[in-house]
Amino acid sequence: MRQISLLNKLYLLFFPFFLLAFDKLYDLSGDEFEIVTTKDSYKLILNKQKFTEYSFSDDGFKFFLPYFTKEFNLKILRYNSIGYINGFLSMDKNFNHKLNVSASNLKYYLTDYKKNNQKELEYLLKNFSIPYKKLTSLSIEMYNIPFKVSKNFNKYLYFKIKKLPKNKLEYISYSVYIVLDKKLVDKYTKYYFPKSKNLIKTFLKNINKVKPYYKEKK
Amino acid sequence: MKKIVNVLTGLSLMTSMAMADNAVLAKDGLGDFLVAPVYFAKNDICTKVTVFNTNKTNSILAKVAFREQSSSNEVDLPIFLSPGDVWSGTVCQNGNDVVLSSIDDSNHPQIADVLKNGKSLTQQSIKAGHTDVDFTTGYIEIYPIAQFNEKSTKKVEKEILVKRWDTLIKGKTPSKLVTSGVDGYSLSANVAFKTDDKYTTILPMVAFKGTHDKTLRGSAIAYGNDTSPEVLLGTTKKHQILKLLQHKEVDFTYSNRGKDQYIVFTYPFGYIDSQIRKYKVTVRDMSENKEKAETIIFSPTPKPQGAYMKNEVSIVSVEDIITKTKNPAMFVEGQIQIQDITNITDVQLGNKKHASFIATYVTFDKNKENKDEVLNATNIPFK
Repeated sequence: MRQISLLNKLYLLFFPFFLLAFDKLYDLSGDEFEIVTTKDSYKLILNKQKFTEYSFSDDGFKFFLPYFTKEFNLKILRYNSIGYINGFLSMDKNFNHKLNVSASNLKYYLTDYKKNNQKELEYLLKNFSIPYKKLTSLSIEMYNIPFKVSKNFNKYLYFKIKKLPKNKLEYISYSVYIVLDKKLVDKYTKYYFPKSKNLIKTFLKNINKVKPYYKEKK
Repeated sequence: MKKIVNVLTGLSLMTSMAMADNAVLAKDGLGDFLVAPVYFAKNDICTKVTVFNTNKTNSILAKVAFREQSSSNEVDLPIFLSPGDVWSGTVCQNGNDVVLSSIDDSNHPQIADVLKNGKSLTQQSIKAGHTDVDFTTGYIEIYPIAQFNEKSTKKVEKEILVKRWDTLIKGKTPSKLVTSGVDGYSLSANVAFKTDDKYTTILPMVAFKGTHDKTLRGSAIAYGNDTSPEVLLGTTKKHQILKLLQHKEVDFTYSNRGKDQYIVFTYPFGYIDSQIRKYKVTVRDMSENKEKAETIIFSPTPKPQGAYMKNEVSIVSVEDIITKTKNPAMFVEGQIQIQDITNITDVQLGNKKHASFIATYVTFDKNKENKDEVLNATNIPFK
């Protein structure tokens, strides 16, 4: 039988205290988004002014990336406070693999699948943690995401705020828009919810409940 | 033949699509993002800022951001421009404060009275929690927010424009919105320096086209929020602008031993304190050898490792540069080259990379009442 080390025993004993608390920036299953429908896309625009308060007991925030996202745009600004936004962005809640990169290297700070040097999402999907240092605003942008990539979504991204004693950041405010592939959303929703009358609303309301699209394909 | 025409048309379309995708420096002074590399609100000198909507049928919403010289701490305000409309405001020093005054009807109605009486940028920044701010010198950015096609040259009531901005903040889409963003042919701006209500010189803002192709909605464009290129223009556009402003060298001529002559270096988009850049200087004298084809280089001096610029706006005295040469008396008029301005912190396009900057040649003088005035201010052409 495998022995459990003393360190692991202590970890298990105090496990609840090690859990990180991440504020959810938005809820796609609610009614926080205005939906603009075009021939090829559903554009979801966060329709509320959202603010989040931070104290040194908070760990950061998380935001959900749904299936069939073609474009994603999250803008975060300091609100009513000064100081810098420092931290790590990752799909891994434990932030195990931290990269050390220059803030100007777009490879790590932007995703555009039409451009070779802008593949931040590839690093995120491999569970790397990307550092953000001394910023007054944060912009997380993803463009031209192909289905072969977006079929792996329906995941949270986590931003862990690095706490520095002298930092006076207290609040952030943010805007979000997400563009979904209409054809794929409709097909997927019709498959799982054949009686649905409003495909996009059904898709969003059930976003955490359904099985991955690619497993459905025979 | 038809095939060739088709191919050429295709290539032309591809080129224009590629152009539309990239930010470029405007040659006509019109753009969708504008930077005044310097303003002065110090002692006797005030600066009037004017923003023009040159589009006769479209309204434009924009933000004017005043950034102080130390670490670009900002105070910004929204402006609401009808077709063919103009906004202006003036910054002056008043005791320890720098005060913005504006009686323009393009201001938000809720702050119109405050601006009429004068709003202290210094106090606003201190109230927000910033320390060590110095707004007596700084630079100004004009960020586009949204454009509306009115299909008419008629003036649009400001209340309507305010409501449209409010609608955008709520994440919704107001009527007449141009969804492709603000075009690159509708905004221009300048700063005019004045002493004793007399304008002494005018400096056009540096304009960029192709920087705004996505109209934002939600909190990112709320009135009280900071302005930032990543947020309002996007990471790609910010990067492209920094590339456009990245240069190896600045050349300019001096006269009268550089007396009262300065080069203002503005390094946008750093927004952090403790920024330092190193550079090399070469001073050339042309007065004694002007008939000769070759230029005698008497130096480089000061030694490259000894020359540093701090902050986001650095003012370099030409006279000081000449004083540090081995024989200052020799340099009456000539040319100065400032080369390899390099970031030595991880800002802009990175540590150890050439800095991105706008350089402005400024000459000061005293007027008849012995008050300071800006005699000349010129953007030094990019090489």
